[in-house]
Amino acid sequence: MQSSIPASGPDTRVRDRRLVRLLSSSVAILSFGVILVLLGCAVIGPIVYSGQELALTSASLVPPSGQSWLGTDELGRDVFVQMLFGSRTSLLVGVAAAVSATLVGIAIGAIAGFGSNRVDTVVMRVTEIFQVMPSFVLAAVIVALWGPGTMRIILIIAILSWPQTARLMRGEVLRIKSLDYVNAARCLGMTETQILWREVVPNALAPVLTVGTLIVGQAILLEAGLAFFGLTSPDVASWGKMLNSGQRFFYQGWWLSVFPGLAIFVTVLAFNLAGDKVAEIFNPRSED
Amino acid sequence: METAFLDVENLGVTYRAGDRSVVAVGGVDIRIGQGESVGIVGESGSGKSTFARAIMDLLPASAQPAITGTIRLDGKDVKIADLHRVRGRDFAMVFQDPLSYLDPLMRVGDQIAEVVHVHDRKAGRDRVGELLEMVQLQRTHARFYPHELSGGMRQRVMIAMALACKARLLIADEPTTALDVTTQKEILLLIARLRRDLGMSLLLISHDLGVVSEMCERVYVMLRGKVIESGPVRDVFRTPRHDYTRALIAAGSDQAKPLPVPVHDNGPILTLRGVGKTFGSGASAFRVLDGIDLDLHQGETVALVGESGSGKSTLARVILSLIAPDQGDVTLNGQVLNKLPAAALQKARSAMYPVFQDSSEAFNPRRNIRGVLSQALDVAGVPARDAAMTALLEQVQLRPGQPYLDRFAHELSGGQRQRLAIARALATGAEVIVADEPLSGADLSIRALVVDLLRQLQADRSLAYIFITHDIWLAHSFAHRIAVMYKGRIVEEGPADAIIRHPKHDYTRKLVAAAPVLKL
Repeated sequence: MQSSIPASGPDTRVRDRRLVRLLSSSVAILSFGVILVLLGCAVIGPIVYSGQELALTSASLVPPSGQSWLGTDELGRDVFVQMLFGSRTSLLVGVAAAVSATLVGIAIGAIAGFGSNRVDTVVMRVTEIFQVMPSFVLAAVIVALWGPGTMRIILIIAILSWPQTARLMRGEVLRIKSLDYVNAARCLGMTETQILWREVVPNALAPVLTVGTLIVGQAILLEAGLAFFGLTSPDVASWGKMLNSGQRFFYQGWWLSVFPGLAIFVTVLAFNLAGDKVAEIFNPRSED
Repeated sequence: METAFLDVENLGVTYRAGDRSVVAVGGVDIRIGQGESVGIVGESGSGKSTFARAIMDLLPASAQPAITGTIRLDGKDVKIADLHRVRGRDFAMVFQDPLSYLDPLMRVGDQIAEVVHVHDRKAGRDRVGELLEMVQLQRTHARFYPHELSGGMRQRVMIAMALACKARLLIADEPTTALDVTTQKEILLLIARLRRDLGMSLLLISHDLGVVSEMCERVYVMLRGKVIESGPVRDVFRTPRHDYTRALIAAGSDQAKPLPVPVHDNGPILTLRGVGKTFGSGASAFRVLDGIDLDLHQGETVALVGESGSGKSTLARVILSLIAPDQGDVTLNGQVLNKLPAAALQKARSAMYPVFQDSSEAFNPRRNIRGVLSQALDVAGVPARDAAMTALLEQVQLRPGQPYLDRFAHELSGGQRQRLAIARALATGAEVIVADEPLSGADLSIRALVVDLLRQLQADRSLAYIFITHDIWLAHSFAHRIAVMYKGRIVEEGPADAIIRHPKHDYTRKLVAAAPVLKL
């Protein structure tokens, strides 16, 4: 019997073509595009409107118009300008918290899943302690001890978010470590550490990274929640804070809560859709 | 010609995938008489299961199947759109993997009762007991959940549910493929008896010519969606007209020429002495391996045969030092592996490499073939050049060279993947290859190819094989010696031909008798 592989052109470019195809879908273009625009706003916006963050205009609670695109708030500050400044906090908190929670979760989940039963039990019980910790109590304690600050908010959110990643990672590692290719690697004389980091972890990443992008959204919302209780610095603008202060004036100025809410919604959606694409790119079988 | 019970003419199934359409079954004519038993044989992808699912109206809607053709039941036309009315009333089906067709959270008695109720509202609970007795289970089994039953018992429950339909045609799609040979024999006898007692027709779909030759009166041979040959089983198997049928029969029958047991100048390369392994402890302790002695010489193949649970896969893992034995020693090239420190073990074990049953799990999905082979060449200390890798691929008859290296294992077919696994073993420079059921999922033609390849490599490189299989005929034709495992022990061991022709142990005798063989 002759074995022939379906001829499909020069194969060195198979993966490049795959990447191009995955990235050229409309969902990918839209989600990555939105994220780029948001990052652009966060970087450039505050430079363009430097110093105008708290600048008061003539009138308070003016609806969106040519003058102030998204209206003004109860103190007469421009909502659009505030949102540009707020995007910095929200994106920074969202991305930084998600990245650190994902890294911690990957490491801890991998160790729990790959280690002995005893290691697994101990690590997972500790993980559960973090999972049942009431988030606002923890945040209140930290803020009370060290005062508010963006870095501390990131830390709090990361502490609250890593357990879900760790659990998922552990499950994937448990599944993958029983596959035969891991034994095949062991028979090649690889050490257990090499097997864990080179053979197991890379194959467990796809769902974990998807959850990581979900954490971006959760973190932005959590930051909003903490801002609501006054647990963030009062002098740093964020979408969450705008949303919460805006809701007091919902009947007088719907734009105060609707636009920051919309921004959070679009950001979370864009990160989630982008996360699905990232998972697809990380899965070498996604073409089938 | 009298009207057949079921007469299918020119049945076609086309799947739509995007803008392409794939013809899975292309114009098949099949007749089944009242009470007749008919077999369909063919390899995976031949369309035999698709045919059965088409007439049961069970094709996945997601594949957008388009079914064409005429179906007559007792001479009356049945519209394709009305097939779902026929299923369960006139046709019932039994599948390969009963566990995935039974509700895991429902007692099997209740599941049978459900079917009984659909077909006969007045039937009492007693009917379930009757059905269980018909399939040679006990009435008390009604209270069991599917996971509490063995594979054979689950298949009996499936058959009981099929009987509850009072169907006139039983369609069995590889009903015993997942079962051990002795269980397979029991299930096949049961189906044959029920068919005789109840006057049911049988459509048996199988890749196993031996099973079909024992069970069926007529047979259809399918290849790429078409019937290429049909007729009474004896005629087709004795005087096949089509080359493909001839090849299938050659691959499927036991025509082993006994291999001479090689004479060994040197001592064994691998020795097991008194190897034992217990899983669990205390009351739940389970002795998986008990006092295993085994020798393997250079250039020799020893087949480990036995049924599931006999400990043969655990033994493979112990040999490969993936599990440490509790007792006894595994010695490779004079080194006692289970007493070596970890670092030394990593070096010593490289003289040995596994080939696994499921080739889809045997490769890191993120590594392309270049990555897979260069990793293995590293172990042997050979520079991982493309030329060296292409040479390896050529040795296992994966020819086209360059383009292969950038592909991934999951892009290959099962047979190609298994050959890649062999290439990887060669790359490590291993002298002993431990193959755990490497061919159990493979079609006959691929099996023949891989067996020839392994023989060729053995002749060229004097490799030694530990070859684990449940297929006693395959062991007969491939191995020099056979060791029969039963409940964690080697109950009989000796030259392959002697074991098959003159088995001494009762269990070996039972195993040989139960294994279906294509008698010509």
